[in-house]
Amino acid sequence: MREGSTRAVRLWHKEKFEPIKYILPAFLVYTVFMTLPLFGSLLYSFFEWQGIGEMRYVGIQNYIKLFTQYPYNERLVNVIINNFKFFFLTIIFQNIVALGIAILLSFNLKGKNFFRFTFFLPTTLSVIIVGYLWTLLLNPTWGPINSFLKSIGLEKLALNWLGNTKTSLICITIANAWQYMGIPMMIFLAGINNIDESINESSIIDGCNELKRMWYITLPLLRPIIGMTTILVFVRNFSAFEIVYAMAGTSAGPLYSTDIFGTFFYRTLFGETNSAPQDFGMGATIATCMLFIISLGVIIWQIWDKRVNE
Amino acid sequence: MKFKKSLLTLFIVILSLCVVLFGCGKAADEGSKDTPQGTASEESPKQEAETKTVTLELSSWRTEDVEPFNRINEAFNKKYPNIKVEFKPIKNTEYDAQIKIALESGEGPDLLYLRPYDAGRLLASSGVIMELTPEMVPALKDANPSYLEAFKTDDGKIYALPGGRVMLGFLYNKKIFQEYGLEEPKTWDEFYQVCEKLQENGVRPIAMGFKDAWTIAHRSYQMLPAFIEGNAEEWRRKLLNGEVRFTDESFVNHLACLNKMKEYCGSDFLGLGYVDTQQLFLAEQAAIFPGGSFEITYFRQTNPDLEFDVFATPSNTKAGPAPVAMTPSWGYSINKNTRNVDECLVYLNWLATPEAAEIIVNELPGMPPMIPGNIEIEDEIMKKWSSFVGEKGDNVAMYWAFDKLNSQVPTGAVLIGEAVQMMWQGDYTPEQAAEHVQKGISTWYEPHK
Repeated sequence: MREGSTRAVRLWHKEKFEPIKYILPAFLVYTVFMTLPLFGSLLYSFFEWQGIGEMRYVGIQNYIKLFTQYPYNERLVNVIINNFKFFFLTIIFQNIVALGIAILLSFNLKGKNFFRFTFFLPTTLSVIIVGYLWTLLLNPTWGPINSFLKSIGLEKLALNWLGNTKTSLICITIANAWQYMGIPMMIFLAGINNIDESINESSIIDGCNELKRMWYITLPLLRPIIGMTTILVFVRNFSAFEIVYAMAGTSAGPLYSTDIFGTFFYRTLFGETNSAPQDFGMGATIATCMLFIISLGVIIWQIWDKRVNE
Repeated sequence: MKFKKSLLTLFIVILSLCVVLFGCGKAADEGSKDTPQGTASEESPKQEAETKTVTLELSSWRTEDVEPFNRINEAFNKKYPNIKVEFKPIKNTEYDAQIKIALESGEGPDLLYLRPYDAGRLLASSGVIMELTPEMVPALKDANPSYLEAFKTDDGKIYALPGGRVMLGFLYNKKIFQEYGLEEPKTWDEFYQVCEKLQENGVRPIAMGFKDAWTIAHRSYQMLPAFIEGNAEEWRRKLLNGEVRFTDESFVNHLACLNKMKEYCGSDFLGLGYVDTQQLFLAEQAAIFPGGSFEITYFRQTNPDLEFDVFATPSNTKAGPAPVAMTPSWGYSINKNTRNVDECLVYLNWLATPEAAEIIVNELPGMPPMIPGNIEIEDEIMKKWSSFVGEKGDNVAMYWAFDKLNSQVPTGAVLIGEAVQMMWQGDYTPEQAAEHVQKGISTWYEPHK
């Protein structure tokens, strides 16, 4: 029962176009609300604009300023270094710990469900609450962490955690990892449970102990999942903002030691506490750099993933 | 059938998109109606015809002041029952953009808060705000030139009646001072002696922290005037036109003072932020809190049992208190397009009377009005604090970074925060810290290039 005979209609009915029909609604919504604004913000980076008043086209002047002019260039280098530190520390404190816990939880332990629930719980909290909680824990005057260290005679270790340029980023990373550890843990757990029982059984028959089995069977089979969680952390960390904002404020202190792309962007676009003017053009330029680095990371991962799979 | 179905799907998609977009449009429309602009100018002629009263709208970014201002306006209505003033604030972060759009489109409130210095000048220079002359508002004649400067454009035109101001000084815990037989220090030597004595007795002398750079900038605004030889305001003007550099002795000396104060802030001072220092003072774990007049209300509300008072920043260069560091917080301006100019002027002139100022200072104790100078203040601490400016009210110094020096990146406020943090960490001497500020400012500020 075919109605209509024009070419377009015939094309519309071709089987290979079938998926498009299903994708179209989501695609439209995504384009209108995500892609177009994204390109809009890319465009802003070519303008000088204070948020109000006229927009002035300046070409790539904003990019030149960002890469060559003090203080932007200094902040940018610092931000890139900090963001990579943040990423590697998160891998250590979040993903590696989550992998360990997932492996432990994959054994048939008593209270397994309770632990799984407990480790996942912080994920459901608001970042602001987590940030505040950890600033209280780390408070040098009343904080329980320093009180504990002092009570067991480790006075020297009772540092000004968030006020020290060497420790502040590590502390913030730990708080962040503590909160989001549940997500990679769940993914790893699902991955481990997915491993075919027969492989495990045959390894046991071959006389393989737990440690060896983990090293030679579980980890290699989890490799794609480990890769995926790593790239998720990468994307999340390079677009992060909230946890630093909650624990160190927009100035990402002390002395920019916790400054990452998100806070640098926020400060530049919305102005600082001390009434620095808003700069939408430069803010958009920083956002574009963020997008570039994140895209680059994802592309590298995809190429690598493809190669390994082949 | 299949074709019809897919047509139907497409139709639904388009329809839902339309609903979403249309919905947004409608919401935006409503939003623009919600902004206080427009309503007054539409309604006021009508009301005038019916009851012969005029309703003025006063817009502000201080949403927390609605109730105090309603009471202030009630007092105004006792004298002028035919002019009603509605205080309609907009959220602080959205104020500038919304007000600008409203004014530029020829609408907007009749009266508005104007930000001091550059932000206010930006708005005034776009020609949407009425210039005020001493003929229109006689109180401007006697106003302190430092206050007027905040609302003056470069060509000398005044755009606002100076409103509230914020002052800096040292708050202290009376009980702790009494316990150790201490008196309010008048000189820096006495100040350090007080700190030494407190330290010996195991009390944290000063509640000051390292973590929040913006509070550090405020400590700089507070201490600097104490180390300036001669008139502090003159020195600041010279700094602005490039005659004086940041490497000047007074600037280095105030940094050295901040460096010394660090010794009395406790061993954990590097880990403390602004809120931590407030808590320390409120919990009576620190004796002295360097801060602004706006803290008084908060401290009283949070710990009603806390007995505290204020002493002036000691002076190094003369007898008596150092110039009181302060900044204008807002000025009252008139929309150029208002239809009720006369009524607006009546209101402004009333705000400038001592009678009105007394009501305002009691409603908003932390932010006393700049005009007129001498008023009766009920609040004991505020009364004392205001007395530090001297009888003529000229022992003042405006925050050094607020005029012009914060208008580009890196701002003066950010630079001083960085410099002092580096100094407190031990990476900079006071001289190097001063050079850091100078280097940063000279990257963009013409007179310092």
